[in-house]
Amino acid sequence: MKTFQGKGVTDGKNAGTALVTRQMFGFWGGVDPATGIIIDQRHELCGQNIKGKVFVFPEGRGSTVGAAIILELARCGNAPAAIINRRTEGILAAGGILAGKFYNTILPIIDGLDADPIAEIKTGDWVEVDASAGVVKVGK
Amino acid sequence: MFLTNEEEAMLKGEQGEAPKLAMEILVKVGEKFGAPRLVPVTSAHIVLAMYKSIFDAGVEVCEKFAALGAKFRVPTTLDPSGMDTQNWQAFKTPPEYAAKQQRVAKAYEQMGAIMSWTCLPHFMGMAPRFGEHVGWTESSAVAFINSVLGARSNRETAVIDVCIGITGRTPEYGLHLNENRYGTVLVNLEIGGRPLAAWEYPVLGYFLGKTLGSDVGVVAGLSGSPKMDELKSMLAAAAASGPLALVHLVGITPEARTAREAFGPNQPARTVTVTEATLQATRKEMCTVESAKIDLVALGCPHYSIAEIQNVMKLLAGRKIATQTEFWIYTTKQVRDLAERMGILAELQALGARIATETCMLISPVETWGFKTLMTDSGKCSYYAPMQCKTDVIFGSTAECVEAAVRGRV
Repeated sequence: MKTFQGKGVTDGKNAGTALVTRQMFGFWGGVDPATGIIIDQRHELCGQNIKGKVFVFPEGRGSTVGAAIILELARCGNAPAAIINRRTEGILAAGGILAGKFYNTILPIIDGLDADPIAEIKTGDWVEVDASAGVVKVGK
Repeated sequence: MFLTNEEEAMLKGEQGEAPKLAMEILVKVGEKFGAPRLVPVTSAHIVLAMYKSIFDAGVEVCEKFAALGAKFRVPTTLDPSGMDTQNWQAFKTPPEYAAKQQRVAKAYEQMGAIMSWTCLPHFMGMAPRFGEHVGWTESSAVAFINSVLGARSNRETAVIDVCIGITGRTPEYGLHLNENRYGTVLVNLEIGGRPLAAWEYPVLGYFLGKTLGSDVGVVAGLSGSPKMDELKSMLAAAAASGPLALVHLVGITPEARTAREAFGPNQPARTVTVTEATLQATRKEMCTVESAKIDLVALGCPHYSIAEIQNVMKLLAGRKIATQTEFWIYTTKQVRDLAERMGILAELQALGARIATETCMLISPVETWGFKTLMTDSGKCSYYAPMQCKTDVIFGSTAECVEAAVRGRV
């Protein structure tokens, strides 16, 4: 098991299998909140489902309406288990905070790990995320 | 985080439930980004506006704030609506969808919003000056006011925008601070010193967005005199293909009279070169097909100006739109009224074209028409159309879009 230290962007703990991409990701036009399936045809993960996954991508991109998509994912019960970025931007951070505030959904988000999460975590790995402590554990 | 007495009062609920909720959210966001305090803003712009993008969660959140008695404290504008506000029925908007959009409108009326329904509040009397702090969403608008006007806004997001309007504050981090506005990456435009053609602005923007990520680029080598409409189109594309909020355009951006000024104390971390080949390859990437029957030509993302509509009239030169092709121009209510006064609206209708008001192809239910291929002169639309309109997309110059509309295919 590998352990990494980063900075919690939201609070809370969660775990799941990893879904990892090298590409930036934007939630609006990126994912269908009614299913959790990635719909961005220009994205390498198109067709994959983020529901319940530990979603690992370098940084956000695109529309500023992103937090609303995260809220709708939360309302529909399709949010990822946790998110790990190299660098989390305000849109995603706010989305995580709002999901807790309006729909009681815990969405731990961590960035700034002491190693590159894109290189260290592989799709399918079991990942535990403790955003309150800023700790990521990979493997069982 | 330091709070003034008035901000403390809001947080404690002494000014009502809505400012309390808004302040709780802003403080939490600010603390996560290490903001030392909140910064007063002179305006807010809200993207939690169109039903197609905010879904039922967005409607519920708007109505929650309205029910708490929220009133906007600073002038607060709205991004486009999820449907044509003048005639949603004519654009095949499902009635249950329209009803949700009307609930959003009602909530914002109660809260005292400026019912602008545009992605261009800065072209509607709300332009912030150089150095002015504002709290805006709408990725294209944020990129424009930072990069062209030198105003200061982070890429705020849905719901946070409402909180900013209610409190008149936003956390002080990111682009509100001098040190984060300096350039980090040099972009050299090497196309022989020629000015860009109008259609190349969104192509360059698309390339910058995906290449720069959240780095602050400094673009050297732009020549000629880019029009505001061209910069608008370029920055909208850049903020779609990436998270771009500020790019220094040397000679245009107020903070970038020279590249040296734009970098401040920084050395460029890397240099990116843009050549003729870069522009050609990017243009190709912006299309999902090369040739097709065109079902819809959609212009006006961001909203078209009256000058852009005049240009379309000139290019059409009295020719009719092909019978199997729709030709829609998206714009504001104000520009639509101008077009009506000038006789352009009637002329367009006679040629088989339509002006759609206060919405756009990406955030209205265009998919209900079952179009297969859409053509646009917008780099932003070219990125999002496959997902939002469920179509193939061809990007082209405005002239190419008009020719395709007349012929019915590319």
